[in-house]
Amino acid sequence: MTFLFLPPAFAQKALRIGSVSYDQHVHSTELIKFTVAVKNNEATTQFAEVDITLTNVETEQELTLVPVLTGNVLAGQESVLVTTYQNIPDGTYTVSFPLFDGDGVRVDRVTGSTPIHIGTETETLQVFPEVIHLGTLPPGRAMFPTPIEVRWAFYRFNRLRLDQPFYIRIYSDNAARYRGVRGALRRNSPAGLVSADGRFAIPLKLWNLNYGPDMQEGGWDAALAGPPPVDDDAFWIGPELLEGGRNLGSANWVRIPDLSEMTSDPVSWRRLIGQDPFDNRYVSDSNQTGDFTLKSPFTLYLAAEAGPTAVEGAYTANLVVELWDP
Amino acid sequence: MARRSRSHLVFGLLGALAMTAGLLTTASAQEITSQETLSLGRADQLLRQKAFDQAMEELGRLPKEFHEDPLFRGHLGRAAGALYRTARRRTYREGLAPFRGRAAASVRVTHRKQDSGRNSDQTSDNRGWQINERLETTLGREGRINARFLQEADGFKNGHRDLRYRTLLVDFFNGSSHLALGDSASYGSPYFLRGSRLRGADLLLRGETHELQLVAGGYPFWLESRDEYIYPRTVWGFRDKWNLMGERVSLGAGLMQARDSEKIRTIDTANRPRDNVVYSLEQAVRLVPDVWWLKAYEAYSVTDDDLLEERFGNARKLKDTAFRLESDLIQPFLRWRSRYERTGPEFRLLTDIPSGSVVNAKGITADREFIQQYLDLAPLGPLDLDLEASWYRNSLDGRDNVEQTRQRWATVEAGFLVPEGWPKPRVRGTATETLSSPGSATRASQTRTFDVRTDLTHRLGDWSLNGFGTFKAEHPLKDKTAFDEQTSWSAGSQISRPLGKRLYWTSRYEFRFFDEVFDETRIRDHSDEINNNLSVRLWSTASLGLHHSFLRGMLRGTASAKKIEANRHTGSASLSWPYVWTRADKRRRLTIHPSLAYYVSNVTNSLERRPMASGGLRLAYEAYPDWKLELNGNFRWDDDGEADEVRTEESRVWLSFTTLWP
Repeated sequence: MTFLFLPPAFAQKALRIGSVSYDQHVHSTELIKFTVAVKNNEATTQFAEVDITLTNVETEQELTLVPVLTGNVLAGQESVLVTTYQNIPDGTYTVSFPLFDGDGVRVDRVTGSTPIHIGTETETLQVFPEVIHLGTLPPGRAMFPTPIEVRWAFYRFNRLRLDQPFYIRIYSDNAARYRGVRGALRRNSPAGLVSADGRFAIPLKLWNLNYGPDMQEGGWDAALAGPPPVDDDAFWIGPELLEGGRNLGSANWVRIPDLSEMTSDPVSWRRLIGQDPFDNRYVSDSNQTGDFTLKSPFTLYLAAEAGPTAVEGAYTANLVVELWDP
Repeated sequence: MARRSRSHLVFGLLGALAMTAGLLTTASAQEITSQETLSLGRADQLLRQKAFDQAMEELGRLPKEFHEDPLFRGHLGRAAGALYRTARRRTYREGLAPFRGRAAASVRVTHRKQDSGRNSDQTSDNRGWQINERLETTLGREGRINARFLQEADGFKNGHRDLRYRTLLVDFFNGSSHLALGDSASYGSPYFLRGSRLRGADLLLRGETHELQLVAGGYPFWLESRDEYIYPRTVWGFRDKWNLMGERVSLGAGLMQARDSEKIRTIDTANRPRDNVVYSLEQAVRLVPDVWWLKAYEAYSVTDDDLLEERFGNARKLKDTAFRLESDLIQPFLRWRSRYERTGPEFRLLTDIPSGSVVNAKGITADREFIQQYLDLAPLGPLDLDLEASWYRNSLDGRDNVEQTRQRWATVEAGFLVPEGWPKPRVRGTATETLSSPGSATRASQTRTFDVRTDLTHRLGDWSLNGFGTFKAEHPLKDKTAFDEQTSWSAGSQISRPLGKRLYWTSRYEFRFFDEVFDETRIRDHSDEINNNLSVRLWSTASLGLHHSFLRGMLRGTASAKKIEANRHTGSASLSWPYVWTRADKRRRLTIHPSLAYYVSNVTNSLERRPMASGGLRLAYEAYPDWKLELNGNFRWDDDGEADEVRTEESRVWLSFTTLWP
């Protein structure tokens, strides 16, 4: 006689959840439909109860939907249990599906792969302050001490009820006012601040929590210490490379482009935040969904460098912050 | 561009930031003759080549009366500044020259306190302390093998001692060849390391005709910013590159392998250990030196997307290619830049993920194609024309159930060269076609947008005059029965001029019109807005800004339009008093720089009144070039009395000490 001992992880459960499905985005007044496939590995019909539990991401309050989802699953069969709910308060919820047998013992639990977002369609953007007077730029680099606050709300979904991509981008719109220096061999960019006579420009840089490597690499914990110091080249230009030069792509302070430099490729934009599950650009081991959002409101800081080539004068800029979705 | 025009216009009202940096008045500029232009051009070219001595000579040929020209002074500043930097002794973190026995150390202690209302200013949290430390030493002498030691650490964060090494590096180098042991970053080629940090050995041998790079080690990455685990990923690779025919042709090849430790599953069973091998080629050809070059990069990757599944005979192998072509042609009458990039859906490059970088965008986007053409033509008669077209497409093979965004974009920008003193016209037109399938539930999945901007600028003495007009139309190309066309246009003017030596005034007026359907109701309406801005230079670097805007009319919102009439008053003051004391022998310097900024905004009809204040103090004492002590303090207060959640009080202080031996 042969005895086979299976470790608990491999033991077959009497009742288990095969799969779950639900819509990722739902309007406030719409019915939310949940589908749960339950498999019965027993030799007799089993009673199954699924207490669908939502947890609000903001408040962390749990909400168990009633009446709970119940049904009988035939021996060796898989049953699909379906239910709908309505009038769940607006919010974003993670979803879990604990499964109980007829004795009220929890036998399985599955967590939904995506949160449910319940709300009404909205798309707003506010920036504060709307007019900024940078004062007199001292020689060298200077950060404007008052941050710009961006409040946003975006709730739209595509026809599969998945996240609709969007970005909030920032650019200057100075090309018409910028003339450049007559006779110069190289035409500089109009990005940033442009002098009153249109001949010179001072680039503007910005920082928000989305930019720069984290403290493990850069040594600066932005969440703790705020904007990195502008005087440090590692943050202003980029970390050092072995072969000389700096890694410009890893700088904390990033340049604000002009509209005339931007193309259809979002890489040429300066994105403050965004979500785009179909663009893998922000996907990494540490960010597998490519989420590039910050909660509303978020702040950004401006800085400029009045270097040795900066020319005295009054400089102005029209900065545009724009919400874009395809 | 296919964006939601409503959100754009909402922002057009609420988000357009007009900024003024009130510097000193503009120095009067000399008119430039052709000979002087050539001299300036040569100086500019020499500066770009970092031939600073020759650039100084070239600038010296210009007549004396020209020396007040800002362009001349700018070039002179660059050349003289560079010569000064190369001549003087280096100090602090500007980089250590390979002198024997040099060491630089710096310690920065930061304390931050923040008290903010819920949901307000989430940029930072209120945890208190951080210490950053950096030590850099250099040994050796010019022309021989030198050694550099670099160590950085930070700790005492979050109220507990969390001191761990961030960077530890020993680098033996001679010229541009390096043997680095420890933490280093390099950017070999786009399909190699891409500036990512490696913990191990990095050998880089560079000569006139040959470049060899060997890397081996670990590739630490973190899943969260404050993750207590470091996930090991072993990396090894090599890259070889030859410069032939006097550097007119470069050919290179590389191999890179990255493999995760299976132990990462013990941290979280959701972690997938992966194995990735990337073979890459690179070519660069200067078809015509200084006129036309081509660059090409190709790569093929083999990825085992889950090592553990392979154990059970369920391997998920991904094999795909990626390549990139770039061309740049520069002629006196045109500049033509082209780029073509295609990344296969199953192409992976694990070494592209920067260690520890949580949010920075550096990953190669898989399953993507991008084409760009940019044509900048020299003025043809009175016409100055720039043409640009680009196209990108995701989801190349359509394996996903959701097709991704695809966009075409063409821009024509035309300027008309008119005689000096005439108003200067410029037109910019952009056509964009966007396909987003299956698309948003609330808009057409395929749209074509036309965006036209016109400007007429003129300078009349001290007056800067600008008239502008915009037009935008969005046409649905699909779902025409469900979605309507949207159009909007605006026209306005902006006038600015200095008022004396200390005041600068700007006035702007804009009239906006829109035509759009809300809930099956067509609305055609308008709004207008006038802004006045006055900036005043007070004394030293102190300045004052005053702003008033008046807005009235119908505004487009997200799902409706609403009428508004409001005055907004804004005032801001920026005060600072830099004081610098330098001892006669220039070896001791004391800097005291207090500053204060205040901002207040008040909107009449919403009772919105929001003041903000911030202050700073910088104290620095330098015993040049041996050590430097610096104290920085900042304070910010922001309170919107009408909204409880908008409240922030924040203070930040850091003290840093930097020293250099001997």
